Amino acid sequence: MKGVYWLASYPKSGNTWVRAFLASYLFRMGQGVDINALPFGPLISQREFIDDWLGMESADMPDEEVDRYRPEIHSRLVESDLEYPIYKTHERYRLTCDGRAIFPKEGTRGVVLVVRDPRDIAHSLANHLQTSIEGAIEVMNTSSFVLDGRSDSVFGKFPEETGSWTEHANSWLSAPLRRHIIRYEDMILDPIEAFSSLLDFLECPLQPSVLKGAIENTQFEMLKRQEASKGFNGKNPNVRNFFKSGEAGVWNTQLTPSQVARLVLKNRKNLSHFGYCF
Amino acid sequence: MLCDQNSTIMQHNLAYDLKIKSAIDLPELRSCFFEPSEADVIISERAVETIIAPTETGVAWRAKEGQFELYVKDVARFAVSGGNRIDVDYLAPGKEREARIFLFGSAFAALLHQRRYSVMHASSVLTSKGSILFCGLSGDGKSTLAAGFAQRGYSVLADDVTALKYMDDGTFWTPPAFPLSRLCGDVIEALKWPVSSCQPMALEGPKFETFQPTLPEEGAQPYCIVFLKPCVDEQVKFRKLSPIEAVESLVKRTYRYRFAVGMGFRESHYKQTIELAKTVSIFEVSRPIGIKHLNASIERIIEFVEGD
Repeated sequence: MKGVYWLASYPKSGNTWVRAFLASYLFRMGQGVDINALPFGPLISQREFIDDWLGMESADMPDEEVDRYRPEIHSRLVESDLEYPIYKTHERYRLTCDGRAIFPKEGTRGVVLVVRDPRDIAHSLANHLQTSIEGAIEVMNTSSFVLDGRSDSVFGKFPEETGSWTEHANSWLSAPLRRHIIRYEDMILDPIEAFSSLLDFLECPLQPSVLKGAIENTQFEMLKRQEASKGFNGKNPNVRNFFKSGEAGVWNTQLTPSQVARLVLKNRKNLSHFGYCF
Repeated sequence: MLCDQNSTIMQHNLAYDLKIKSAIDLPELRSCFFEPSEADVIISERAVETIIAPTETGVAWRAKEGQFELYVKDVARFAVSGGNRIDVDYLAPGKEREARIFLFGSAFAALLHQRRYSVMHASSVLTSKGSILFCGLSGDGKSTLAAGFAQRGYSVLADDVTALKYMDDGTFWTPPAFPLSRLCGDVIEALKWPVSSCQPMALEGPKFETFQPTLPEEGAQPYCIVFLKPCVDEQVKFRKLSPIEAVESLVKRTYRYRFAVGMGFRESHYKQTIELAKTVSIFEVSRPIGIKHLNASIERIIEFVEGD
């Protein structure tokens, strides 16, 4: 596999699930995986990862300055010795302050955009950000939203510019990169088709029995059980559980009509584009 | 200030138990007097040449056996070699203070690796039992914990980067580093840290550099190393790491590990890390994050150390 694949998603859209599936399929012949040791690149906004490449503390520098270096870091990930250089990101595709694509074409093999119904995201994101559903909707509808973007504190992650849910999706849809879209709901409804298409995009030979095993052994409930017994390093340390319900359509019972309306109003075009009824 | 044999003005300082003879002003460091010939490290201002055929590179650094180079755009280029020499090449006027941030950070880390110290991403404090190292990622609260200990009368040996010297008798030693701490605005406010001593690290950056008056004259043997793990629970919990976990964690939290690899120290670093894991007690401390839990964390750690 030459070149990096970006596994891009708005937070709480199923990115970890996709990586767990890929780890099982590519490395474990369809057997179970350790969610704390997925054999792919780290979240690219982790300061540890950025600092390693910079050779300096990103926290000692203005964010804008760090941002200037990031396209070069990303274009050089192709040098990594990972067997499958797949990197997770929640950031939107954008240009840095000096006009360079933060996810450059050089060194990129493609992007997998994981998409989920924003109404279900709102429910899950509220827990992830330790806020109310109202608060999550506010975040999802805020233009140029930055996760962990406080100016008086340093987090383990460099501020992630996700943008609003629609901005995030649009940015990747218009990125000049080879692209594949996988919907969270399809991973539930027709996992064979959803994951086969993903493997085809990643140019991985299809082995039906391994595919079946990987799907079975990385079902949401199994990941959730593993988190309950061993914990999950990838979660926000402020929350107890990363894996909550995992179902599609929980918004029907968890969101009020006005909350649904606020999301639909702001994201109507993309809801329709991705085939979500409203 | 003293003059060296070539009549260049040289300043004499001490950090990490190293006698440093510097042609550039290092006002943050502790001054001392020694014969020029006794210097362990010489810092000069001079043109720096790029390393040819590096074995390991990042986007702003290059390394090969015994050599290291760091390039900070519009600020300075640093060359570190032989464990005893740092050359600084300013790339613009008026960048001295900014350059010192990177000199005390990555350039010194490379130098300490070259001198075969175990360089940890850790803050450390001095207790009656020896030093305690707090290892963790950015944002895990290493500096905050150390500052909290300082406010309770403990001496801070190092902030953010702690070097452990492997002694001839097989033990380790934690030398005092720089009398500096780097704290975020929210921590400064919460701890009521004297604002007059704080200078922003960067324009619009969240961190401030502050003088750390508690730096002791002498270091200590490490008593224990703790790996900070943020968690949701209110309780502070200690867990002793198994030998394998301890070695893995120590390698993982080695400060600028790739520098050490690039300079050819992968194997020796690993061997030294195994010795460190054998010699020092190593724990994981799960604790709630957030400044409001700081006192509880400190009290629990003190209780754990004093009661041991």
